[in-house]
Amino acid sequence: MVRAPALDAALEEALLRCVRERRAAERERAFEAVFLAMRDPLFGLCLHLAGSRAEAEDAVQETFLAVHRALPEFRGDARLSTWIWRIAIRAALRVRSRRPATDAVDDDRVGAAPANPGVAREERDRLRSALDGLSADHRLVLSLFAVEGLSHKEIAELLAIPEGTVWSRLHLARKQVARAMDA
Amino acid sequence: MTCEQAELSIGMRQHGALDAAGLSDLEAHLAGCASCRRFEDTTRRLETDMQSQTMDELSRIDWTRVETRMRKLHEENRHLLPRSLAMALVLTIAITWVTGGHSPADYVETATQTLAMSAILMAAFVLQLRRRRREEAMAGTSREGVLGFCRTQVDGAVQRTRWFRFLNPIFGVIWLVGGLRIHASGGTTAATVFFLGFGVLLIGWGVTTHFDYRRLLREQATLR
Repeated sequence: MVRAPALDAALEEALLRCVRERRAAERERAFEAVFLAMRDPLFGLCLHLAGSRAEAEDAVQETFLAVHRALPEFRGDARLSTWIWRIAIRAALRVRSRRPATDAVDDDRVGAAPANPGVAREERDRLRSALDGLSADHRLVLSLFAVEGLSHKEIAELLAIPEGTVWSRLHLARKQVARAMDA
Repeated sequence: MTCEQAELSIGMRQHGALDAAGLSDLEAHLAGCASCRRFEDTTRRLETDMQSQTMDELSRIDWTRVETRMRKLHEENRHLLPRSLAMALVLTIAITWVTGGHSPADYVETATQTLAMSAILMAAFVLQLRRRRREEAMAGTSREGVLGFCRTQVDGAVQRTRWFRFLNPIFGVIWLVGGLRIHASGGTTAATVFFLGFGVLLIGWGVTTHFDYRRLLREQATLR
């Protein structure tokens, strides 16, 4: 599994303190820490939600800009990391929707031109097509589970849906991808 | 055990949620079902492949470049409001200077009208910025779930833009016609410019809204 989804509890607490204090310099430092702690996990999620490295980069960038803008509005109703994850999901889906309908497959898409030659390009293209065929709900649950290593409970909390729904969406997503890859 | 049940059990086994009885049932089914064995193999590979792709793409990212671009955008956003205010002021002075008229009263009238126009536009702009900020904050805390929240937001935006993309140009044309009629009836240049300027702005806004509407429809489809 790639990494842990949430920020370290001490870091989260420190960030919340900075948000509440509203000191510009402290907030900038806190923001830098959030960026360093969350950029990789957010990129992983955005990559599979948005569809390409360039789009994932845009989504991560939009997420952090939105976080920076909305940080003063953060009331602590949810964990700061959960809040940032949700903003990232929204940004990734928004970036994905900007892709023209007649988008041609290019070398920047997920699954193309692997740096690790161990995994065949053809295999990756099939995986990308299979993931592209999933609905937003299913792609999101599968990415959170497979890439980010979140448990069913964590996914349910993050998406505000029942745990049973996570199980069924994950099952359907796997089934659909497996069928598409075997076809 | 049917293949459908086996597929469910395969998922549960991968999460360590299958009891001993379920496990032996699954083993028995898998021993005689090539299709379910292939399903198990594919689902196991799926997660490994997704992770390895993520690591590959991560290794190719230049975070310094992303951070630089982000800082630049952040700086631009930070100066957006002061820059817009400065531009509105310059525009007011320029329009007043060019179309002011012959007496101090004419200049005052032009300046007032241009300032009114600038104030309306600035208010719309500020409200838009505040709405976006509130939306961003709410996206992170909404209790209806992040996708549900996105859908509600996008559906609402589609409804709004559906009408505004027609209403804005219609009102724009009305203001343009008003400006031309003022000009024809010998009204002041300032009033003519005010009406014509606002008409053009509304038509431009309508065109932008039209492109927004198409983007929102794509976003709506992405969220289905």
